[in-house]
Amino acid sequence: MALLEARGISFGYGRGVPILDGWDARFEAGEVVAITGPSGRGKSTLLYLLGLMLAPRAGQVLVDGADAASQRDAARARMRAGLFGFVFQDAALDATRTVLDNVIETALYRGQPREEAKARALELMAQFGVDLRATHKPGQVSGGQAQRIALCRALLNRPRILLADEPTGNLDQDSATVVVDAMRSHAVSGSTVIVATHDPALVARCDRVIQL
Amino acid sequence: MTRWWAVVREALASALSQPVASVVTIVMVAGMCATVLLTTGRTVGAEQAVIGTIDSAGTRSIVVRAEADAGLNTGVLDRLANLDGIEWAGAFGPARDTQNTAFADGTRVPVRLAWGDNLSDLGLAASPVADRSAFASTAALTQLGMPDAAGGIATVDGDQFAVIAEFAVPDYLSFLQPLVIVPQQRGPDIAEQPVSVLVVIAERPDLVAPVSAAVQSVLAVDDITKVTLSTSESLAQLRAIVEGQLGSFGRGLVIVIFALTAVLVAAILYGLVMLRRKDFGRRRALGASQSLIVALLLTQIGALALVGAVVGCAAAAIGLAASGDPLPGIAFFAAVAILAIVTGLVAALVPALAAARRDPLKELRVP
Repeated sequence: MALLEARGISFGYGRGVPILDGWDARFEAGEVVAITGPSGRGKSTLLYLLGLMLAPRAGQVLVDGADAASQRDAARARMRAGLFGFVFQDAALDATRTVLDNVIETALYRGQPREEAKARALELMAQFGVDLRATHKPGQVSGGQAQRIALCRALLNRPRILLADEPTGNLDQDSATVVVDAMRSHAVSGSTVIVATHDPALVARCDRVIQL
Repeated sequence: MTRWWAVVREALASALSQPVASVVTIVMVAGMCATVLLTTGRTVGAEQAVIGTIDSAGTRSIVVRAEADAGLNTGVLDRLANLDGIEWAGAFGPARDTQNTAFADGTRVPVRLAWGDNLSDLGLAASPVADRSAFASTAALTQLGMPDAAGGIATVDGDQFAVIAEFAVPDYLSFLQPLVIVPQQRGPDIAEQPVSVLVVIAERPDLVAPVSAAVQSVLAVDDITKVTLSTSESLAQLRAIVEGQLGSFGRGLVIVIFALTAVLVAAILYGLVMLRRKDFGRRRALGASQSLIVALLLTQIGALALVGAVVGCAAAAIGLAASGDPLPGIAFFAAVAILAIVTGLVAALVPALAAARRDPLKELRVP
């Protein structure tokens, strides 16, 4: 059984032509999959559909074989907080809170005790070299550091499915390498990593490529 | 399951991390409270002062005076006990002149036997006293020459009583001054005694008229022409008019102010939510349910509204006290504060629902 599966999903904005029409894919545990294609083909949209943030017009998104996309909002939110990790293109950090608060944000949504989340966050931040920035605001860190902080946030709950939208799009070579290495090592632990990207270097390091 | 205190902590942290938005919200709610209290609160304070003055004149009292041969006796108290709308009733026997037994030519003061279930309301000893124990008002003690409120008194025909304490005469019995009363027990084995003055206090000013009619119907006197009944009905009517007119003016003003402020608060909160739409989109994407977003925003606004209400009430209280205006009372302050918080929460509901429905994809892709 695939960890994550899209079965005949269709989606479009408004009444226009669907971006995705009867799309199928399976994602197994332990693999890193790149979704590539020209801009506007629906890479990000597909990622958000697989991440249960959008509901498909038709078809199913199955997690561990169970239809997840048709669940109620609260159930989908619980799954997003518990099973998924997300890395967004521009890090999407809360500029008004400290770096540490940003990393442990999802603990609230899972009901995870704050102290436990803090300990795990500091461990991850040390691993990615941003622990000295814990009390800083996101505006005080570089773009590469911001993306590593976003990666810490995504890995806080040891997600079984990690979704990343252009995670290296704004990064220099060194920072991009850190991010890709982290995603690869996370997949080794038995998770699925799905990356929407058009970065050839990143695509080259993925196990499989899906072209849209 | 997200714990409620984690939601409260996150809401407070959010409020602290957005000082400008938080201060704007606090100022709006504080302004709402202060405006209501400095306008309506002043009116309510004046209303309470006027009504207090009217009430001190005995607005709710009904007094029945009966001549000796009218036939009114203590049995009327049993019949009054069956009527609704009565707060207090007391019967007093005919006045008999007494004087201090320590002085041969002392000033004479009337003494009256008294009956009633709640004579303790007059400040008399709660425990039963001997049938010959008397209580005297300050005026009576002065006239009797008995400054220590203790001593013997005797009627002209030799009946003796012991004054054991002073008591404060309430406004509705002031017409009996100077007053010495001797509380009496009633019971099935004790014969009914003649009553010359019956005082009934209605529960509310608006009940004076119907209670008066009811009291008249249970007097059971032999000759109704030898009984007079007087009430403070005109005072009660005046009280009702004052209360009604000032009250309705105040309520109308409160509704208008709260409605206008609620619209303003809602508009500003909606604007603040729109400015933070990316924040709510991110929260949704990372696993916050719609209900959690609503709970977070309402808790945040509730906490800020609480601070605003306290600040507004305190500022208004200081302002009213400084200008020498009457304060409307703790209950009014509390009601305004609670209403302000509820108004803030209601005003925040639409922005909160809007925040909870932000589309993560749309918001996260906005640069």
